[in-house]
Amino acid sequence: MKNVCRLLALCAGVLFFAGNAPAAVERDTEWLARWWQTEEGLPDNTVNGLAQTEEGYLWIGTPTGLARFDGIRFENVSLTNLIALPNHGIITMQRGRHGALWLAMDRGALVRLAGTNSRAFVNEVTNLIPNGIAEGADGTTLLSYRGGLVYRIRGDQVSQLRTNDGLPEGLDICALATDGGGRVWWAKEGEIGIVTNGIFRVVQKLNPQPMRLTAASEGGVWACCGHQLLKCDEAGNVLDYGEFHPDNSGTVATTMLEDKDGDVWIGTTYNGLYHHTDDGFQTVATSHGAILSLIEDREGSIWAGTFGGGLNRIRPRAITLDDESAGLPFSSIESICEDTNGIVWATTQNGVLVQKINDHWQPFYNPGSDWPSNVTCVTADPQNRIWIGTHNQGLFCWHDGKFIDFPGAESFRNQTLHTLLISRSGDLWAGQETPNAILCLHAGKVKKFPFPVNIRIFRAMIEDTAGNIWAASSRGNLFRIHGDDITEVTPRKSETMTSIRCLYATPDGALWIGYAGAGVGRLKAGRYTEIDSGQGLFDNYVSHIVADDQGWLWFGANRGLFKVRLEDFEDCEAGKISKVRSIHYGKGEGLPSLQATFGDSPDVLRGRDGRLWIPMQTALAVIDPERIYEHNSPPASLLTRVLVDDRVVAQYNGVLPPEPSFQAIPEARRGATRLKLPPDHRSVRFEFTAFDFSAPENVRFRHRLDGVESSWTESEPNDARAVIIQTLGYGDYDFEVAACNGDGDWSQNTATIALTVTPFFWQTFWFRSLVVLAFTLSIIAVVRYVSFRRLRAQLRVLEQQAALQRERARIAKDIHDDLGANLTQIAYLGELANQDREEPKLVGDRIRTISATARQAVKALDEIVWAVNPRNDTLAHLLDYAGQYAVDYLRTVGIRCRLDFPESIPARELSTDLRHNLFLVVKEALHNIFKHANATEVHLRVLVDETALKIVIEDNGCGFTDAPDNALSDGLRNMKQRMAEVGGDCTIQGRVGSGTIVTVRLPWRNND
Amino acid sequence: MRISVSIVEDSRGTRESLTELLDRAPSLRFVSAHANGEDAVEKIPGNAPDVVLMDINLPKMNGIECVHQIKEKLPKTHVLMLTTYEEGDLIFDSLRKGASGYLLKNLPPAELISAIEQVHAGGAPMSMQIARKVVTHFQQIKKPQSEVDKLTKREHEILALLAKGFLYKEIADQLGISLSTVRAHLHTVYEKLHVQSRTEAVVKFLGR
Repeated sequence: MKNVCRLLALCAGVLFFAGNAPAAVERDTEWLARWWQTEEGLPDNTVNGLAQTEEGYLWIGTPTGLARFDGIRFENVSLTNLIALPNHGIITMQRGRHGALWLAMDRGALVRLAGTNSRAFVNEVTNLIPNGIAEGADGTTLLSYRGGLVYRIRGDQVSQLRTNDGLPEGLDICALATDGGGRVWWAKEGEIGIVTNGIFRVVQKLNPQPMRLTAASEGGVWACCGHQLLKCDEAGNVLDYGEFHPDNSGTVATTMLEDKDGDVWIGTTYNGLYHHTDDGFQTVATSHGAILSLIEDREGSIWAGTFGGGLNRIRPRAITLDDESAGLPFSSIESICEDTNGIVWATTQNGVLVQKINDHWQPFYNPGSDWPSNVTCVTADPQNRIWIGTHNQGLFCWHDGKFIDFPGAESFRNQTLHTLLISRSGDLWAGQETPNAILCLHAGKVKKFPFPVNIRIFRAMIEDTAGNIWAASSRGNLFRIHGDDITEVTPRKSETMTSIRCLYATPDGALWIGYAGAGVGRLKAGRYTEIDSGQGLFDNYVSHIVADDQGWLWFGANRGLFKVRLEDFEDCEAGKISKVRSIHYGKGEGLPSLQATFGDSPDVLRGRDGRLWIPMQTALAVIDPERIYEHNSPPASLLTRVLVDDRVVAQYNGVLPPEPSFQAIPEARRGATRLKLPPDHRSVRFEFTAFDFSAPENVRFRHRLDGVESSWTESEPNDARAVIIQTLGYGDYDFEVAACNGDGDWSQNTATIALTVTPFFWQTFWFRSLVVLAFTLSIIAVVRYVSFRRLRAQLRVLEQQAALQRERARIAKDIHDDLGANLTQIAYLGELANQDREEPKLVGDRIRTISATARQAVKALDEIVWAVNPRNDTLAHLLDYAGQYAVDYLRTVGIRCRLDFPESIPARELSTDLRHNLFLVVKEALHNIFKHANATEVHLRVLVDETALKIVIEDNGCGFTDAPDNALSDGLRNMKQRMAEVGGDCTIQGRVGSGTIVTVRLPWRNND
Repeated sequence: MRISVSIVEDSRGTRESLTELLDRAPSLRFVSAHANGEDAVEKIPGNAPDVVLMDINLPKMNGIECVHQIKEKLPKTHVLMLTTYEEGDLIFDSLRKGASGYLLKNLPPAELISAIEQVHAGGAPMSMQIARKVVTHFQQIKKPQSEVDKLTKREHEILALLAKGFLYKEIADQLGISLSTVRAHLHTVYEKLHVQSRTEAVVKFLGR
């Protein structure tokens, strides 16, 4: 099984056959065979097996291998992964009742193609040459071999059936066939019967001759026993259907088929194909005399595989050609009509009147002497009178086996007539040459309408639905005759006159004009339009126009036969379509090159049986529209492969085992499959097909891509059944394809595949959301940052303001405390002095105290002003000032002072606050020395480096113990507190008996 | 009977000259002089003077607090503030804490003595500028409360610390409360001040 599931790849090379020309044409028989050979892509000219699967593919088994055919191209199917190469040749093939395809291979192997259930049987069976396969309704398949062996396959179980199962002994092949009820019939050694549960039951004994079997639709089987056709039913009743007689007596039947009409086809070894009808056996010509396989397709065509001659398609001819071989004395017909007895009358171009009796043409023979020898035109009236126009001999009337006289005959005497018309009112109208005139024979009287010579010859006359008689000349003039009124209505009068070859009136009231070189003119309700090859008409030289009963207008033209739908002309005139669709019948229908005749009328005939008779130069074409329309409903389309950037991503498998790396395309169900395409693809190629084996070359496709376009795009004719679409944007699409048949009928069964083009990551929702989110967040961040910055700036301003206010408050406090206290004291001293004015000595003391206090006030003021003055804001100023103060102060209190300052003081700015506090600390320290230390010398040292300022004040006084008195401790705490306020510190080291060291340290802050 | 007077004054020179002045006044009896508030609070109750002259700017305990403590112990003693400061806050704080009058140091000594007599007689002497300020205060239309005034004491404390640049953790440590309490208080502060961030709150606080 593992083997089976592997790839069964389609051969890379899809072969197209060139053009639509059949390899050969067999003319003038009821059956038309067309064949395909290796040069058209067939893998091998020997076709051993044929089968048609559900979706429509025609499978072709050859010694070279397996191929499938859609009417246009053969695709080789490689079985490499299913079975080894020596077995690849196919000996016979059978479509099973449940859709599987059974292939009997070279060297005896059997392959079952059934999608995922495919498998090969190689070792379980013999290696002899297989011959026949039949699958029964009970789920078993029988396989017979040359040499008489039969194997039975049930599921995956294989067993050989032997004589004890009822199989007759002998080397004769056991023929097999499955009837309509699913029973498997067998025939061997003259015995015929049914296999039931692996047991061969005999139904009838016949002569032991080589036998072939095929199911009979009415029950039982057809058997070909030797050259005899028999029918055998379950009860053993045997009916004899006669014998065929091959040229070579060694000929035996190889294959049999009953067609949908119940007729039997028999393929033979040497004598080709026999068709058996109620009339007996008839040979049907094929490309080769050795027939190996036969099937009937769903459209009713018979397909025959030959031994070296390729593949034949056989179907009834829809168009036959009558020429000399059909009895015509001359193959070109000028005028044609049908009498009330159904006999067709015609005139040949060389002036002979002919009639077709019993399907055979014969010249009209008249024993009388006045037989017209140069006949031009012929028509028949409802009284079954045949009116015959002649050259220079006037008009004849044939009725009831003889020529009769008629009133007004003398008016036609010795005239040349080119056109005859019987109107619905029973009048006979005739177009006369030299002199030009139109004559009307009405109630025994002749009315004559003369015309000038320059109109040349009247070629065509027709009566429209309104009862107008229309006449057209070879110069191109068109006249309408109503009662006695003649009106010239030549449509192309203003242009170069164009010769008119024919006229035709359709029941819709339209008059049709066939021109020599200008296509077709249409005059309807007073409106004139022309259609020529620019608008899709197959030919511009139109000699015959005739309508069939299916809505088509048929044309005989210089380039042959073609037809156009009547409604196409309407749609084209209404602007709904830009072109009419012309369907040409030529080589594809087995026809030779044909050219229409023109000259006299009535020129075409629509027979009462619906057949159309259109005279051509080399033969009279007889068209049976009924046959053309048989089994010709528009084909369903099938998507076969999808390629992205030339790489297959999905394919239709059908009976073939699915390829794991490709997505499977189902037959036609909308939405069943969704293909995911990467966003960076460059192109998508859709391959599709449709099965119309009758006229594959006429199949057209149209497609649309929902999501891009809503209207259909029609494929160019003769293309490769593929569409390439360039890069698709991100989104969902539906690719839909529909097919139409040769008649232009579009199938409603479209093949659809849903596509999703995945987005690039930047097209995904989450990515876009993320971008929006990131953008929003960054905006928020910026706004927050800006407002934060603004707040910080505001805060700095406020801090500065607060610092300034603190500074001002401090100055105010200093002034109050120091200066205020001094001045208050002075005020009080002044008052005291005033009170003591009677005692000069006391006043003197007071005044001395006042002046001392005033000096103190001045000094205090000086200190305050010094601290506030911005000019003093450097370290150097501070040290100068502090040093000066120390020297002055200590001198007044009688203590020696030693200063030890650095030689150069770095240029550093100090804030007012800082200066003030540092100075006060130094001052306090000096003050303490004076008050408490009892020292004789003070050593003031200043150390400045990159990191800090250090002031060391050392004395040689008494020092202090751990618990200095209150005043001193307050002072020391004050110093520490002040230094802490400005971010520095102050250490006091008291050594009892050996002085005190005060160290003030201020680390530089970065912005100091 | 002479009026007994104590003085609290940190400036030695002023203290001494004032002592001498008061001592000489015939209507007064100088009792004691104190250089700081602690000393005053400790010793004045023992003397129970009729009038205490109180400076505001003292080294540790300020004069206003000192008034409060003295008045607690000596409700009958009149305390007269004698200071160079004429800020409204100080005036009202002093009066609220029990001061009977508010005098500026630029008051001539004769008037000072007269003021002591007045207060003893049941008056409330004030320097002219101070009296005017008190009157003006009562004439002022009550100002709308600023947002910052809506804060509770604790919130105010926290915000003040925050404005000084302390971290939440430090604030919590200083106030002896938990970190989450600090946060909760700040949350209320933000709402009351209609602000979104710490910085904004501080700006509002400082800019009030």
